[in-house]
Amino acid sequence: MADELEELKNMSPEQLRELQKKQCIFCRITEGKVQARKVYEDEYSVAVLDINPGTPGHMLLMPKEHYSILPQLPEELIAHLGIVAKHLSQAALRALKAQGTTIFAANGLAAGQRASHLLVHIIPRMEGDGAGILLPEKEISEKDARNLRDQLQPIVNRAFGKETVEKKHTPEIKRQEKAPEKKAETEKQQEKAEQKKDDKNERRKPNLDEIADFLGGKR
Amino acid sequence: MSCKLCDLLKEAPLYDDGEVTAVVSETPAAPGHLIVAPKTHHVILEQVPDWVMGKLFTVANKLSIALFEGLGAQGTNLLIQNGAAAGQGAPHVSVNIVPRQENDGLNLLWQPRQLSEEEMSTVELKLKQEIKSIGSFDKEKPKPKEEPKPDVKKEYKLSEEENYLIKSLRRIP
Repeated sequence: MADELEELKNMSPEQLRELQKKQCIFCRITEGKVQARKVYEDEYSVAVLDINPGTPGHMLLMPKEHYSILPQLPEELIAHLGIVAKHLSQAALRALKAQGTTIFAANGLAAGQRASHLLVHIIPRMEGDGAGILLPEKEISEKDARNLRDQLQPIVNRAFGKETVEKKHTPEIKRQEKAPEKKAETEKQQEKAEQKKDDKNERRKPNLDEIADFLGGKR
Repeated sequence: MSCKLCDLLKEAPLYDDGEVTAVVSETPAAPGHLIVAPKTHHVILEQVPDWVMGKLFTVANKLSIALFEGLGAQGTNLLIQNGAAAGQGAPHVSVNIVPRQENDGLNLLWQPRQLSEEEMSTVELKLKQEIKSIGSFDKEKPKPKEEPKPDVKKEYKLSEEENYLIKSLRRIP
């Protein structure tokens, strides 16, 4: 055991990845080395039927590359999985006359993840199918929701690579830097709005004039 | 007409990129439960364009990262309830991001079943038949058509010649 651990430590990232692939059942499925009921495949992902389904038609969508959790995936692949999941869901509605679908992914053991390969579950649903997967709804006061939002805002901004402009701590310079941009934008918007106005006026004028002419002429 | 989620998205966005918006859930499964939804009011998943779908997933993932870092979540669940049979509560497509802790008492999983080989084969066949038609994806947002201005002018000229109001006025004796 100790020797094995030592071996693991000395492995290169490539070797580790190879080892992981060998030990991951889903990697072997995507490679076609283990048989599965494959229902979808493209360049980046594969979907198979879950052998212990929540409902008949329960699909497992997975990237071909081995990743454990979603945050490890490149963005394009995450988007790709989302799009494929939508189309698989649509297929389930049509093919199995399902009344709905549950799309589910777990990041981490605490979230109920059982495999070390990221899986997106697409589960066809029927009224009263007893499959579970219920989201409990707890009450939260408006104040608590607001506090939570304030607490999360800077963290969310950071996750999206945005700076949080905090009123208390923001140095003046930063505000000035941002101000001209905003100004330019509002100016543009104003210009646009004015153009639109002009267009409208132009459009109206001849009509009104003509109407006036007609009315005048008839009289 | 009014949609609770539409209102919430406008009222208190935690994130907004013009196409998808994220908010704190008002009926959380766990503290820090977030919702990301398309800004446009789509009732069911199938109405959501592919590129918006991709965005929903990438944004949900980033929010998930934020929950790991900001709330010390030990795990996160992404969950879409598509249709009333799946527990969809509002008539507006949304992705739930639920922060998780070990032994938090939440059970979002299902009861696994054992189907017969025959049942599995039937389902497989039906699904494959339908999945065949999954073709290309619209991963990019379609670009707005160019030269909208000349078009507007053309329309305007036409309307000048054939203006309904003018025509009807001509008939006034």
